Amino acid sequence: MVDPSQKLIAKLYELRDTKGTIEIQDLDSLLVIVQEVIKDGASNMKDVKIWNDINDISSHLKKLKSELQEIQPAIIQNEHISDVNTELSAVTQQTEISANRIMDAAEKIQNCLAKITDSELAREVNNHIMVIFEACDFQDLTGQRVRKVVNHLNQIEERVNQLVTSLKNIYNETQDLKKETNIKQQKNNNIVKENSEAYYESFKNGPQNNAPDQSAIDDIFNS
Amino acid sequence: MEDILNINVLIVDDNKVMLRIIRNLLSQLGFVNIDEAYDGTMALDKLKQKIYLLVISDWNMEPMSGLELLKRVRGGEVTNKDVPFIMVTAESKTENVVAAKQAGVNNYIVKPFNAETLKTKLVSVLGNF
Repeated sequence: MVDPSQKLIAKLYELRDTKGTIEIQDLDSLLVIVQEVIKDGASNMKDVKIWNDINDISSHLKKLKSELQEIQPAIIQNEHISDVNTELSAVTQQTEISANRIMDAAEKIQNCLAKITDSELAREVNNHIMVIFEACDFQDLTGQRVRKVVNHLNQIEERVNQLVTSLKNIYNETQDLKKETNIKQQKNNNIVKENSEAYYESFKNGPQNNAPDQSAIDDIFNS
Repeated sequence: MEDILNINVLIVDDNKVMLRIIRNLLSQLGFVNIDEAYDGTMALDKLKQKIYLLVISDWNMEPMSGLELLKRVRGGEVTNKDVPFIMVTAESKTENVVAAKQAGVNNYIVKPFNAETLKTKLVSVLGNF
């Protein structure tokens, strides 16, 4: 499909070549072409709108990117989550140490049972010692819950990384699209400018008023 | 009864505190031959080398869970594939209990548990002692 602005230029060339001027009866056909140019310009305006929308999105993403940078996901990953993992591991280790200390003490009490002559009392004490042993399962149960928390944190860390990567990609793609649209627009502007210059340049050629006749031209040619 | 208390028992748990607790409770009940494994792979190795007449295993272990261990035992990877197997675990979801039962577990103890519960389950699996 012919670009309407090119069509307009071609029509003007035609009028120059055939008549050397624009007459009133030519205005109708020129007006139709000018209307096409305006209509095409409106669709170009749509491109401009799209370009502006892309620009807006790009600005929003830029803002979001800098906000994300303030959140500092790298620090979340490398420090905060790493710190939490370290702290939770320390909880598990410390509870293990404490549980073992409790059981060591309970076993020592058990060893003393042989010295208790009252068998009833010995049995009662032993029962309580077993309860102490049973209760030390807190270490295993808390350890399992801690492990769940650590797994959740690792998943959060992974999601944060994915989010940052996705936003980076979207931002870069938007920037590329913006550049591409800019180039296209610039190219269009250049074409219109070149055509306009060519058009005006063309008035310097062709039939002229007070031009030299053939003999003058022959003189120039044969000199 | 003495025969029961003299059987080889294997307890499997990746938590050493838990292993110590179960060992102590079993000792209190009179069991004398108690071995430990810290994961499923170690448990399978021990089960291939020695005849055990009771396995008490945790569920939540990595890389091999207690359920996986049970399936491999019942699958015939060890000498005594029908060894009585009790799962001791904090996992109390119905689907887990069903899965363990389908895999051939003999009984299921939910943590936290006490000596009385352990004895009840042992009696149900081994008989009175």
